[in-house]
Amino acid sequence: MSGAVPVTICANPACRVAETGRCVEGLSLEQCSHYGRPPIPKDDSETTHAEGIALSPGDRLSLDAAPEIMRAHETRVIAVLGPRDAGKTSLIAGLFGLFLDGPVGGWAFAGGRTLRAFEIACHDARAASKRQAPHFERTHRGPAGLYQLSLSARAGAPLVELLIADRAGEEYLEVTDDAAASKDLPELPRADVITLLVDGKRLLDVGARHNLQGDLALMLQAIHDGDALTGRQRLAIALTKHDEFEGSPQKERAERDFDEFVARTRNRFSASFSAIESFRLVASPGTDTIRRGSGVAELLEFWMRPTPPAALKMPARLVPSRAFGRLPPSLG
Amino acid sequence: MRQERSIVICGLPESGKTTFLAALWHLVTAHDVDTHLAFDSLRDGDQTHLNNIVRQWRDAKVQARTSGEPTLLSMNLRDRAGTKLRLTFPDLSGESYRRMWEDRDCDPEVAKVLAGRTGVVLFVHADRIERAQWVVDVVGWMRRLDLPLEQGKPIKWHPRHAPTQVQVVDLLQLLHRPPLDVGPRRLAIALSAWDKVEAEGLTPGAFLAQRLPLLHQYLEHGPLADRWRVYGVSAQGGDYEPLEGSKSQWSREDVERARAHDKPSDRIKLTSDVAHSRDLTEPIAWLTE
Repeated sequence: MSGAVPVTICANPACRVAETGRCVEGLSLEQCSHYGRPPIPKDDSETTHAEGIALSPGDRLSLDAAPEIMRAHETRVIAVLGPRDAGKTSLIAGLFGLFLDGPVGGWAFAGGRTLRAFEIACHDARAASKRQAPHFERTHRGPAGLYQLSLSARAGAPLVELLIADRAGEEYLEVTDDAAASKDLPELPRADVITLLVDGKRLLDVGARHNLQGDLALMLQAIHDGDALTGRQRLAIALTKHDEFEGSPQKERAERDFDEFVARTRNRFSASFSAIESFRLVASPGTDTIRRGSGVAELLEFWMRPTPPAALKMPARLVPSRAFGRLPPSLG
Repeated sequence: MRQERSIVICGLPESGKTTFLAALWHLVTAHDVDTHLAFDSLRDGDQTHLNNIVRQWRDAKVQARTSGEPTLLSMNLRDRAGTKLRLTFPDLSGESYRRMWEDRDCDPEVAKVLAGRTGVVLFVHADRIERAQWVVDVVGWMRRLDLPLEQGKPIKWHPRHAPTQVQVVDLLQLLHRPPLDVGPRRLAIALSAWDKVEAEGLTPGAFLAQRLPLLHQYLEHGPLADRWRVYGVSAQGGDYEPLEGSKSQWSREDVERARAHDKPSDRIKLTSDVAHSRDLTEPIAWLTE
């Protein structure tokens, strides 16, 4: 008996089931009421895709969009620094993934202009990607982009905007060669929180751990020397991929390395930041036996803390040299 | 003097918009249920489309998909105080809304009919909510069940892969932002096919919070604040007979049960967090008051 030829027609003209094998509605082929029926001939007069009115693209925002957002609402700008593959996209996707399930820490989702960008960041860790293990596309070189979320601490409370700057890790690493290159990273001086990602997988690697810590320390030194620090910023030192520690013979040593790195950073940079705190993250675990998003809510709380306003620099008062000039105005 | 009221009935494809319109038209013309808004007259309007879809609905047959140019429908109704209203709403295809999420643009004709509406009814099919599924969770279940993992090339991202609630939140945001935004509006969320999920024992509000948490947060904390309500809408009371040639699964029992009702209005059920009724005009009365 010859095999039955699969039916690949659909009454919906927009459906490409013959090419993709998938229902354009996202339904199973059995559920779709159009599958298996001949396509409905298109009426030539029907405008199926007229020149449209452009809507907000939903992609990452350019840094130029930040001032307008900052003028409209209280805003937290977050710069996430780390070498390539340190877990930046995983953290961003992991945070959004948590909001899909409910409020995170004390913060609820109240809107977002970059939902499409968040979805793209999540895709390779989702079942729809048909991957067998989660994957996160690394950020490519080029201008930094902003992921944006409007968050609310409680119903009726004013919104606080969260802007997370996303830039290729290589570009942050390059400032270690030339601290003046910090000037080309405008998100740094504007940031309320600088988040330094310590790649947990590399910290476990006995051969890679020293360079990792050396590079990160130099990165901080470079942005300090490049005048990108304002003294009001907070520093989050986040150990990523902490799930990799489970069962590793290097676990204890790597935990100790991280704690010592945090202590050294505190000693060296405590005057350069208003607060320095450390976090252990499992933003997007590699197995379902470890809780997704561990540590992310705590990091978000740190990100969302108010930043003290910049102290106004008053011009130094000139003391007149002549006695007449020093008289109070009412007597002068 | 007749007051003009206009609302938008929106939702992704096959979310229950046309079925709702058909059931609503039946309800107000059948005069067998006490409703917030009652039928007034057929004057000054073309009811061809409404009459066509209501015939399908009474026969317990699935509605053909809405396509093509937007049609402006109208109903002459009166409220309980006797005020005469002319209710108009565009019957837009779900593809018009899908295009906003996927292609990030809007047909100018659609934008024109969306402008100036005083309220929005957003349909979400309660039994077809796509949640975010993570690779690690699926792989974990497959391993525990000792099922083979699907082999194949990874699939590139497509907007349609996004969970239902992300698409719906973005659609609402687009409706409430320039260039489509025309000011504050009330929003009624209609969880359609409520009869398929009501055995879970949740109120519509609890269902929304549990199954669509991002949408729930957006409604509670976003710009709509106290200008939204949620309803469970069962506008046909079970499966209807599919269109000829369709391969979709359906329950003949459901169809026979629907047809067996002496009054077709008995197939209809509206559930809020506090009450049940057959009055599909209740959300519309609230949107237009």
